[in-house]
Formats: sequence, structure tokens, C-alpha cells
Amino acid sequence: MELSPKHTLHWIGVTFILFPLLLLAGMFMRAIQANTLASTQSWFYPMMTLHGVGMAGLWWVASMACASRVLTRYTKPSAAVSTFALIGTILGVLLLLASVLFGRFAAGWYFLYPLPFSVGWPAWATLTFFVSLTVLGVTWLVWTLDLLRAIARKYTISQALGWHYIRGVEGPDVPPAILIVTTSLIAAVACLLAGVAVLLLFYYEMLTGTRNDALLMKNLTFLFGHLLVNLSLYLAVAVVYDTFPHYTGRPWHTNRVVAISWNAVLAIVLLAYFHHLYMDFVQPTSLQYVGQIASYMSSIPAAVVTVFGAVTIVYRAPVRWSLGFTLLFFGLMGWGIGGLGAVIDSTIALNSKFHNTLWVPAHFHSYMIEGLVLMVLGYFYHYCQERARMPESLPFQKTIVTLMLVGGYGFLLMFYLAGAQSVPRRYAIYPAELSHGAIYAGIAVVFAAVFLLGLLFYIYETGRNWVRAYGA
Amino acid sequence: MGRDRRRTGARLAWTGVTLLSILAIAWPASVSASRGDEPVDLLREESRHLYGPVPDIDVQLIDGRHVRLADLWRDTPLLVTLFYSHCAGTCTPFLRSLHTAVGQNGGLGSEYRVLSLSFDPHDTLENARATAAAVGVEPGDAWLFGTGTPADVARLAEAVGFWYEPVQATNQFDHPSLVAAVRDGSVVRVLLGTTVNASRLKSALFELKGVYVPLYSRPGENVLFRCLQIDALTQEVRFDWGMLLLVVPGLLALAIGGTIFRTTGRPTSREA
Repeated sequence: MELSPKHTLHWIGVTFILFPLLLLAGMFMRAIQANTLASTQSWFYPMMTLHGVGMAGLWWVASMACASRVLTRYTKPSAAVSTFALIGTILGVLLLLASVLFGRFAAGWYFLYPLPFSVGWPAWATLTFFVSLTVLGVTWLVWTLDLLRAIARKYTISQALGWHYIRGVEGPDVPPAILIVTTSLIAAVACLLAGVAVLLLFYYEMLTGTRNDALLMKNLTFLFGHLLVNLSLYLAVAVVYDTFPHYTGRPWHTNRVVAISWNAVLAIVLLAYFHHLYMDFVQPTSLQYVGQIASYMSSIPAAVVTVFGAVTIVYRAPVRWSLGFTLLFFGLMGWGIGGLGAVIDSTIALNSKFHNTLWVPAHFHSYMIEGLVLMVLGYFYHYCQERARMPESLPFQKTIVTLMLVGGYGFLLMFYLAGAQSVPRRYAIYPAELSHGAIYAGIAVVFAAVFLLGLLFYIYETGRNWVRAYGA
Repeated sequence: MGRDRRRTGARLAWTGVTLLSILAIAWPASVSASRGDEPVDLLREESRHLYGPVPDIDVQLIDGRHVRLADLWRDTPLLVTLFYSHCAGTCTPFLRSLHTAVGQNGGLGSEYRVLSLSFDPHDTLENARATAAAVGVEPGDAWLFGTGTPADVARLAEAVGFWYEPVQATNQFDHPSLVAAVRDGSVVRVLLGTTVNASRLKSALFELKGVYVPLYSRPGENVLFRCLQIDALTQEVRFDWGMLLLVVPGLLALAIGGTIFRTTGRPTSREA
């Protein structure tokens, strides 16, 4: 059975419900930090867990849904597996909600060992959280393998990875989306297997009481977590490669440079996560250097090649700056900006100053809110509009983009400024000597509200098309 | 066909539910049983109260003066210990070992002070003075002995992770032994144990100077996988099986990806 439009529309619907709710959870946390909801501070860490796991998972499935849809132009992903992924994801989210809302599980989205075994919440909440991750992990692994199978139906592995471009020999024309999605999915298998390994070790400790090695658990957790977020971005970038020509009228071909840069991602991205362990003095020093070099090598070539390519095909092209294209374009640029922040953060000399300050959430919120989110939302609009063809109001769409950019970047600026002034992350309430942190948090809530307003307008604008496309 | 599939699905669902139920029931029991049997993780216990505030209580020193704790730590950082004078167990040996370790590290009086406070409400200043003499400490401005009100001492004990329970049958107290390093009103290091050795005290003294000394809880012997093996004597570090576990997901992913492409992908000229 082929992937029908409704499969993609279901994913879009799920995103439209979950994203505003998770965004409200984030605003709630910043409001607590701003002392406006200080009386509810006991909910700060459960909300931090829900917001973190929810957002990372939501944008992974959203970018997978986009990639699946793009793949249908070239090959045939399974509709049954897509349905299975949707049901598994909903089940996983329900279990997560039960763990956090009823059990007040609050170990954060990285659930760093041994924090999940804390006595701060009931044992069943920890178990429910792990079962939730297990359901999500298994579901996503099946989905990932199916997309790889679909690509393999048409391309050999050397074609899909564009090796004939690197070798300079004749071969089929491989769209950049195929190259990037293949790269990302192979790495995603490693990511999800690392997630399975860390969950198995947690279960083993639960059943036997035998302690785990904290260093091993942290390495595995970040191999899973860091990759999941990175690969969500890459899948969204693949979608941008595939959608830009639709608006610019200029083809975006795979060439040798593109093939080399994305193969470098596959070769090196698995090592970049070491930069999360710079503060772990027991981690061997050699791996810390590997972390910095891999962070540079895996991100800079792909980002530079992509951003440069995007600018060249947009330059002086007769582009109609509709909501879809504008969000895709600004999303790509936001990825570059946030990615630059990430590369800075992965520099050991700087990380030793910035680590555990609000500068860290500043950079990862940058490439999420103004990068990944905009790219995915841009594609969602593009897809719904293409199917429904509702009349567009460009002034209204410009208002939406303006609200999302002003609100988003204003929100991020508060994180950056607070981080530059050494305001620590993960504080629910700031002590007197960090009272300026509360001021930044208060202003951030206002900017987040502006972003939320833009998002609601976006959902209305895209939702009109979604309803008509769904009914067709 | 459809019915068979439904039956298989239902069977799988029941198996899943049963396994989860077993896990849910077995886990709390297994964890509490195993944790109860194994030795206390010293570092975890010592870390419990780190960076917490220390109450500014009133202390009566053995020379009769009343001082506020804040006045002491504002002047120089403090090592705080709790004892009771008629302890037949660890109190005096513990204080003696601290005395020795302090002597080996130096800096007493110039870089930090020690405050030994009785937690027994019946201890008098005379009792405290006798303990100082038994330990071999010359009471003065560098090493202070004293008492406090029961409520104040209880607040201080709670802040540094110390506890005490009277044992009626023996007229003794059940209690641990610890020394807490206090800088600017916060606990920066706690050393638990029946004695204090010079090297552990040295790390606490570094913390008192504001030098961060990292700590790592060794996972112990009973661990399935670990990243590193550290020889405690030679400090030699070598990789262990856990490191291999970090490589396995990547290698498996390449193998799985390759297998999928080898078994599925045979593009015909028409498809390509």
C-alpha cells in the first residue's frame, strides 16, 4: 500500500496539537524563572522533562514525516509502517504524559544516569518513562528501516550515497534529498540502537539492582540524544533541498562537493557527541579532542555547502515569497545561525566558560525554533497548500513570519544575554545574586507569546488548507 | 487470515503487558533488596549535602565566649565536626585522626579553623574541654571546642548530613563520624568515615581555598560494562568493554544499512 496524502496530513495534525502545548510548557518554565508563577515551582522539572522529550521527539517524527513524503517522489515508503509509526508515537506520548503529569517524573530529557532512580518520584513513573521511550524507540527504528528499504528498492548503496559523484564516474542522477536522507537514516539506526542499549542497561539495573557505569551511561545517552536532534535537522534540510527548486525554478543537483560533505556527515557525526562530555574529567582526554574535531568536521562542510547552495539558487530568482518558501528559507538560515552557536559551544576553550549557563539552551533553541521548526512548518504549509490551493494573503503571511521571527529571536536573545552573564541553566528559581536571570526570563515570556501568536496564525492559515486537503 | 492476525496481535499485547507487570512488581523489590545488602556508596552519601547553606547558629566556646558561626566562617573557612564527650566509640579516635591529618597538611589557623561541637545536650563546657585534652588539641583560636543549644545543633547537623539517635540501653548515641568543610556559609565538602586521612583532608582543604577538586564515584566491582579500568595503586587507566559498546551501534548501523541495500536493492535499468 502506498503512502497516501492522509498519512502525511495525520502527522501534520499531531504536530499542530502537540507543538503549541509543548511551547506553553516551555513558557510556563520561563514564567516560573521570572517569579510570576513561583508558587508552582515544584512543576518546573517535570515540565522541563516533558518539554524536552516532547520537543525532541515531536520534531524527529515531524521531519521523518516530511522526509517520507519527499521520498514518495522517487520511491515507495510503506503506508502500513507509517500508520504503525503514528500509533506507536501516540502510545509513547501518552505513556510519557502519564509518567510526567501523574508521576511527576523529572529527570530531564537526557534522563542522565542515575537520576531516573531518584527518590523524588514513584518507581512506577520511572518505569512508565522507560516504557514510553522503548515504545518510541522501537517504533522509530522500524520506521527508519522501512525508509531505508524504500530507498534501497531504487538505488544501490553507492548510488544513494552519491559515491559515483565522488569518484567522478558515470551514474544515475541522484537527488540531494535521497543522498541526505540515506546518510541520516543510516546514522539514525546507530542513534536508535544506542537508545536501545542505554534502555537495556537501565532495565538490567531495575531488575538486578546491579549498578551501571555512569560514564558509559552518559556516553550512550548522548550518542542517542545528540544524534536524534542532529538527524532531525538533516532530514529537514533534505526536504529544503527538494522543495526549493519548486519555488526558484532552478534545479538543485547533487554534485561532488555535496556528496563529499554529506558523506563526511555519515563518517563523523557519530563522534561529535563527545562534546557533551567535556566536563567529565574521567572521559579520556583523547576523546575530548575527537569531540571537538568531529563537531567541526561533521557540521561545517554540510552547513556551508547547503547555505551557499541555497543562496545561489535563490539569488535573483523570480521567487514568490509565500509562507511555505519564506519559512523554509529562514529556517535554513536559522539552522546556519544556530549551527554556528553549536560549533562555538563545541570548542573546548569556550565550552569551559559557557557550559551549564543559559548560553547552552540558547544555541540549541536557536537551531530548533528558528531552524528545524521553521523548515518543517514551511514544508507542512507547502504540502497542504499544494493539495488544497486555498487563496493566499501575502500580507497576512508576512505578518505570521514577522511574528515568528521577532518572537523567536527575541526569545533566544534573552537566553544568549543571560548566558553571557553566567546565569546558570536548569534553575527553577534564581537566588538573589542571580536576580537578573529572572528579568531575562520575564522578557523571554513576552517574546515567546509573540511567537505563539504567530504560530496560532500559522496554524489557522495552514489549517484551512489542511481541512480542505483532508476532505478531498 | 485476518482472525489469525488479530489473535497473534492480542497474544503479543498480552505478552507485553505480562512482561511489564513482572518488571513493575520485581523492580522495587530487587532494587531495595540489593541496595540494602551492598555497602553504602560513600561518595554519594558525601555529596548529598554539598553546596547547601549552613545555619548561622550561636556557639558557646569552652572559654565561655558566645560566637556566631557566620562570624567564624566570615573570618576564615571552617572544618566542622560533631562529637559527644562520653562517646565510647569513634568520636575521640576520629578527632585524633583529624588532628593528625591537620598536622600533616598544615595551614591550621592561617588558612582555616576547626570547630568541634558537642551534639549531646548534657555536655558541659568542662566536658568539651576534657575531650579536647583527650584528643591532644590545645584549644585556642585555631581549633575551637564548644557547645550549642539542642535546636541549633540539630539544625547544623541536618545541614551537613549528620544524624544522632540516643541508645537508652547503653547511654550512648548512634551516629556517623564526619568532618564538613564550610566556605562562605556553604558546605563545600563532607568527609565521612571512622578516620580522616591526610590525602582526603587535603582535597577538602583545596575546596576551602576555592579550588574545585573533581570527584568520581567508582562504579565498584559488580558492574556489567564499564568504560575504563583504573588501577588504584598505579593510577593507570585502560579501556574496558564498555568502550566497545560505544562503537557497536555505529558498526551495527553500517551492517544493517549494507544488508538492507544488498538484499533489497537490485535496481533494474527501468527503475534506475
